[in-house]
Amino acid sequence: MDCMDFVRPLTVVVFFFVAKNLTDIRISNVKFTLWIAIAYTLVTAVFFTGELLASIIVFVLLFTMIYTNGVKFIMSLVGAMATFIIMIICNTLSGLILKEMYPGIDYYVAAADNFKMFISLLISNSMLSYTLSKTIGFILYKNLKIKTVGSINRSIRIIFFVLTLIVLIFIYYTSLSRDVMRNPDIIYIYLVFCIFLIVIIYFAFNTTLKERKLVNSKNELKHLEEYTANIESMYNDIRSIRHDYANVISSMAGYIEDDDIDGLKMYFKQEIVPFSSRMELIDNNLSVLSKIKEPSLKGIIAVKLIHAQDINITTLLDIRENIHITNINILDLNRIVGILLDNACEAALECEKASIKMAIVKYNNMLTIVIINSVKNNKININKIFDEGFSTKDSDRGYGLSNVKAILAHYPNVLLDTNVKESEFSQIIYIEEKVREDNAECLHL
Amino acid sequence: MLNVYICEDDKKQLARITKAVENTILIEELDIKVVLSTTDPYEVLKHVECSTNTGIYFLDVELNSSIDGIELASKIRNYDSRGFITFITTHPELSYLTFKYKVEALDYVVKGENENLEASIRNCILNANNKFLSTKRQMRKFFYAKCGQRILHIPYEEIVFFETASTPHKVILHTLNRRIEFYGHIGQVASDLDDRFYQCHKSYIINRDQITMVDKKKREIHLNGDNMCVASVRAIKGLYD
Repeated sequence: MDCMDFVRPLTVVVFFFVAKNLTDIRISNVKFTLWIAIAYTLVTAVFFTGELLASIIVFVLLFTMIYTNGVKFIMSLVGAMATFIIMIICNTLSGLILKEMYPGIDYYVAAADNFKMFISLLISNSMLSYTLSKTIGFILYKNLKIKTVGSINRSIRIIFFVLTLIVLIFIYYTSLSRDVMRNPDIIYIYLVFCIFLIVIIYFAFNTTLKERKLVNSKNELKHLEEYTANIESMYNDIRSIRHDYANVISSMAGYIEDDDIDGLKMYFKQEIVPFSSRMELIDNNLSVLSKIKEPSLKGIIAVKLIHAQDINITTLLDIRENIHITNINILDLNRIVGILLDNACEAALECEKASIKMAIVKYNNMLTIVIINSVKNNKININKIFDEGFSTKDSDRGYGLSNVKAILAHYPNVLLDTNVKESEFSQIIYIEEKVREDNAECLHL
Repeated sequence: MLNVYICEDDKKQLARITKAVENTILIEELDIKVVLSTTDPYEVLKHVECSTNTGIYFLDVELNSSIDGIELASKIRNYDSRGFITFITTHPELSYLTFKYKVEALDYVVKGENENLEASIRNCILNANNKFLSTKRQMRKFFYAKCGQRILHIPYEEIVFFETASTPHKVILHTLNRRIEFYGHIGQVASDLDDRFYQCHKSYIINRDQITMVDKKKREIHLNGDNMCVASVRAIKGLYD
């Protein structure tokens, strides 16, 4: 038992720092130190059996640390493997550098027993690997902003896994046989491997990023189109009302010119009274709409409800407080409300007493949007209607609710409550104004 | 024991409502007491703050004060989350969704209809009293789902299954006619429930009483309402142990 037994396992510390740099996990210093301490203790205990067992222990611990800090399973494996690759490469590199500086000494053999040599190897090794891992981490997380991309898709993850595994096996095997010392050219193969790996990583993430951007801009375009369509139909409504209005005036003028008071009376009863009651109905709803301080949402609701009234659905809109929309993308919300109101219209039309009721309510820090419609059929399978392609009607519909579900999946602060009861179908959206700390999850690889 | 609070800015109306409430209590011999009958909403708040009893509240929507009945009700909710709130209003049809979803009001009473007012108040009190007694007596167990600041309670026997949502920290509860997303963790949910529930998969908890069929080969558990959950290899063995 000499002091080298306690010094040698210090390499473990470097492993953990490299892993931390590579995966960009958020871990408290205390926990991180604890992980290192556990690894150090275990490795010290088993080091006499040779490197293999110690390596396995370090690998398992690295993987567990990464995995328990919110990284996906496969990517945690990749992270741990990448740590090993970098460590082996840097070890070889620093061995070679020292060999150049002090020719004639086999550093690996010497370092195993000599404290000074081991320390110099360890220092150069840790400096190299720390810089390398930090650089890779910087490129991945700061330059490419992978965190904002969120999770990359599964097939790319598996490709990564396989590639890293191959590289690791190759490097581990060659480094074990100590060929490197005898044949320094092998380091070039290492370098080629590394560059290859980095290039692949770069392209994979770049593609994911571009894909994401494309999907986003496509979505935005779609929203814009829907919004324009809504505005158009609103404009048409106004035009038709103006047209009706002009007609009413000119017919009245006709009666007055003819001095036909009885005719005018009849006309007033038959045409003007229903016309003005329709105007009033629209006005009623529109007056509450002014409480919504988000023009596009206001537009959507107005269009859908006026449309519902036109096809003889009784509508009710209940908003008492000023409504500001925060913590949800307004385009997403418009889309959801649009889909839900369309569905409500469709379902309500099947009933004899068709009605849609909508309310927007503030409840402490939470915004509640309620949409209720009458339904004919009480036996709706709540769990099926959210599936893609499901519709109670034609097969070409039914993408609505699955879209709602997909959009809401991006929001940890939004909840949906769907309910059928006593011939009423209700959808309640809860939007929390403040994203709770424990709900806001950092998206990692 | 239930406490009744009445807040109405018109003195005449206030007297009428109070009388109607007291008559009902007398005739039906209920364990209810009128604690406060006032025109000042802040007085109601002062009383509610230091009371531990559940209350029945009759609140005028349009109060001649700096706050209206709905704001008063939402303030009351902070102290008495299970209280029974009834609004007195002239236009119930316009705001009843707000009543229901903002302050979970029990009901509303329409002002001005003389004969009906007494009858509706009577109904409200009886309704509140029944609900109060039944939740006290009841052996039913409830699951409390946290939807942000709102807590929904669903009786155990109505629950078909729970599943994890694709968004982290969200769990979805399914009953035959309802689907509720709430904040939580499936493991935590599983430990809160009783024996009839069984976690058959890392993302599903089923209600054993709702099982219609178990397909051991495909490891599928079919539940009422045409629902199906996948079970893990280990869990399908332990299902009936």
